Amino acid sequence: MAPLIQYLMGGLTLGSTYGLTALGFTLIWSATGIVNFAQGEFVMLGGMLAVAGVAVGLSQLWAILLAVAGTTVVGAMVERTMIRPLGRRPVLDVVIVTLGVAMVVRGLVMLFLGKETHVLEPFSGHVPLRVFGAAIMAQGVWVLATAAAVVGGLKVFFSATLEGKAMQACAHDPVAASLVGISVPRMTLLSFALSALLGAVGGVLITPITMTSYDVGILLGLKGFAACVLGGLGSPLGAMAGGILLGVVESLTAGYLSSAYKDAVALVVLLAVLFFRPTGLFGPRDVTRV
Amino acid sequence: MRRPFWLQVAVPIAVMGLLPLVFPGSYSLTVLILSVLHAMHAVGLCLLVGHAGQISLGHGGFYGLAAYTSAILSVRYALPVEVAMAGGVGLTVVVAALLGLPTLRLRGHALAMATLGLGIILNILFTEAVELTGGPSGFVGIPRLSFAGVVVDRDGAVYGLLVAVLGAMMALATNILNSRVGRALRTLHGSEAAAEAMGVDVAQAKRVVFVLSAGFSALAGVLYAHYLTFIAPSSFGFLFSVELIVMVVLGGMTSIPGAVAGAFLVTWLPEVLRAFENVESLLFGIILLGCIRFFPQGLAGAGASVGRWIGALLRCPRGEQDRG
Amino acid sequence: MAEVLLAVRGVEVRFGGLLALNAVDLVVEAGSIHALIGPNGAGKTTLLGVISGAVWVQQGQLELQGVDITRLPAHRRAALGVRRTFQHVEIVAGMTVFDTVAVGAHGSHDLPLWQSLLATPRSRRVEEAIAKAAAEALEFVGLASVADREACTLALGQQRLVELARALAGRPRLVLLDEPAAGLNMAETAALGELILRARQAYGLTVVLVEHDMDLVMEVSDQVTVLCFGEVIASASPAEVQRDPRVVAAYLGGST
Repeated sequence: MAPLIQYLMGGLTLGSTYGLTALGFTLIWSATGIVNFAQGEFVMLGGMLAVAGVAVGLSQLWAILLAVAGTTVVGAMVERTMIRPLGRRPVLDVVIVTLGVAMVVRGLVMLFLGKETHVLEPFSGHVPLRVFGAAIMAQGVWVLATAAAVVGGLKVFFSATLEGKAMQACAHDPVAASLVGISVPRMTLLSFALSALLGAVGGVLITPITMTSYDVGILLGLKGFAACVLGGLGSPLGAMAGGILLGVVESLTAGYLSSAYKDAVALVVLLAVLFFRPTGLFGPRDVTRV
Repeated sequence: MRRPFWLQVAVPIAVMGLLPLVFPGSYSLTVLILSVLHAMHAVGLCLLVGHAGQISLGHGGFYGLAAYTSAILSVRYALPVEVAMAGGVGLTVVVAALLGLPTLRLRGHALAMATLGLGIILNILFTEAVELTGGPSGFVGIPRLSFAGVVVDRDGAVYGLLVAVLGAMMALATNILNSRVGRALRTLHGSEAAAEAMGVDVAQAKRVVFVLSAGFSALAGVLYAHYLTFIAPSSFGFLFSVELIVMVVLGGMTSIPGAVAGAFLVTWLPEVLRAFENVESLLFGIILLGCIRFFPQGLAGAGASVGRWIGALLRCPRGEQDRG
Repeated sequence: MAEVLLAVRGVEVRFGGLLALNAVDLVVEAGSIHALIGPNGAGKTTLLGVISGAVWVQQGQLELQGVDITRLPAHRRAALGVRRTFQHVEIVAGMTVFDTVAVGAHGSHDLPLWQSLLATPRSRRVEEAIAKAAAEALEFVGLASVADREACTLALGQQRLVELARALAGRPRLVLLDEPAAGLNMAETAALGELILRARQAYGLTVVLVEHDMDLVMEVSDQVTVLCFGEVIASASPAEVQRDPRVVAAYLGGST
């Protein structure tokens, strides 16, 4: 019983961060139809910047805040300097540019922050909590609470603010949105900044648990995408649910089967969903927009 | 617009034939052989990316799958090299077809992520299935290339053979682009609505090109394994798949000779750049960003400009030097 | 009564909660030019998409010469001789006028890929047939002189003709024209009307025409069907439709 609870909790924790990455994918995909290859790098950047902040002597809180803010600025800058100048070029070009951005971010982090694996201190110490005889990391509680707060915040943002409603309208029909006076480029900028923010939050939360290095972005991004597809591309709640499901399956695999193949599980799930239910578990049955 | 065969295939092959004279020495020859192998991927990916408009980040995985399959069949099961190679290519093509079946029904770029996922799964397999693959340290003792008992072991002969195979691939690709299939691909890349309204089975067209490009990569893979006689998982990873995309983008996406030139240039980069290992990601990223933004025609565009310039110099009638 | 080429029966299309087409019937006689008119948002383009296979129906049935095509994907319908043009011109950047038009003949041939890969004699014969069809279509619409230009660099009026030529290159039985006169001046529109009539003659076409320009509609069509909020409110000869009070009301925004 105790190991099962431990694996479930671990999966829930891991899965929430995948869910945050998946939310980032969904935001950009809804607003622009782009699969953003740099999404995983935003997660990596958040974690690595926090590590670097602590290394230069900042308090952990400040390091984390600055890392999240810095990544958000990077996300906005990527949209401004790389995506927007492409104008009405084919989507393929934009996707290749996001791949280029991913490679540049990864390359720069490696050059300036090194190839080593880093770890961040857990937010409230190493002493585990005891639940039904299972040892649960306090960091896990942080992750879950933050993820819940972020999802709640997004919900409020989308349903109660003008900006959020405009973004939803834009995702639904960009032409109609621009006709009623919504600035589509502004919404694209916002989606990139928000996605980077979500990614960075996930990155700083997960680093105390899984550690980080310059090259973790690609796998995290892929798992985020898998979560997205699992939940149905374009559905925020589906993204979060897909992330959690994926995290739990991965954690159970690592616990009961083999930790060597745990990364393969997420990818097998991705391929299986694409094969059998391309609109995702919670997505609509209609495939026209996928 | 028709792509003239001599410009698309004959001239590049002739240039490749001359390269060992320009860069003599056995080390240069090794790099040239690698370049030709990479160019095989680039030709297939040029069709997939530049014409069908789909990105794959799994062709490094296909390369490895074919190489490992052929190595395993020839060493562990003692099959003749030709049979093992056919097995490697066959398995890879089947895997690609299975992957393409569901993925290419979808609009957008699900293929990119699905292939990326497959590539990573394959790499995990190459590394973890130690009894079968030799694990992280690699697979040694693969028999050399041979056909009907004749072993091809001199590097010069290998180079000649590879250039011939590449030439055949370029010819096939040029045929495709000059046919109704080529026009259908370019149309669906620009407008799937128009393509399907004109009778193009969009999903099938993408699938066919995807499987064809995987087949080219697989052929490169089995040739690589039996040329080098040693393979390791690190050669077939994510970064290699990105490198292949870089070659195609640098070549100008739509041009086959451009993609081949891109493959040669990118393969030579580590030779001229000492610090390559440390700036590899950064450099690939910069090439991708720079080319898409400022030189979407890539090397092919540059080649066309030079061609026009020479044309003007020789006062050739205009239009003859048109880029393919 | 002439032979029926296309029959649409009880078609219903929903986009999310929006009912775009409701119990729509449409009968198009072979060899006729059948106009679809109606206020903006009436569902004309949606109906065209339903016929071409770009839009799937939730209910109802489509028959082309008695064959049920309701569940056939767009490319299979093209193979049966259906072609269309687009309201927002769908011309691919970087392709010449000739190549753009030649794509129209794609669905008229069924050739395995390996034939094209190896450029076999049979594939060459097919390519020649396609080139001939494309050249004829370009000649027919009067664009033969710009065959080698990049199609997207032409003026809008010419791009619309490229789309028409692309449709004709497939030697279709049924052509769906989606607002072919939008953005054209009066002289161009008049020439277009004449071209549509000539095309029917030369290619033996049946045409479904979505158009806002009433002069053009009245000039070329044999039958007019009026859509309003996704429902057919009238279907008759042009003269009768003009007199129909429900149609007038729909256009003036009144209620029926």
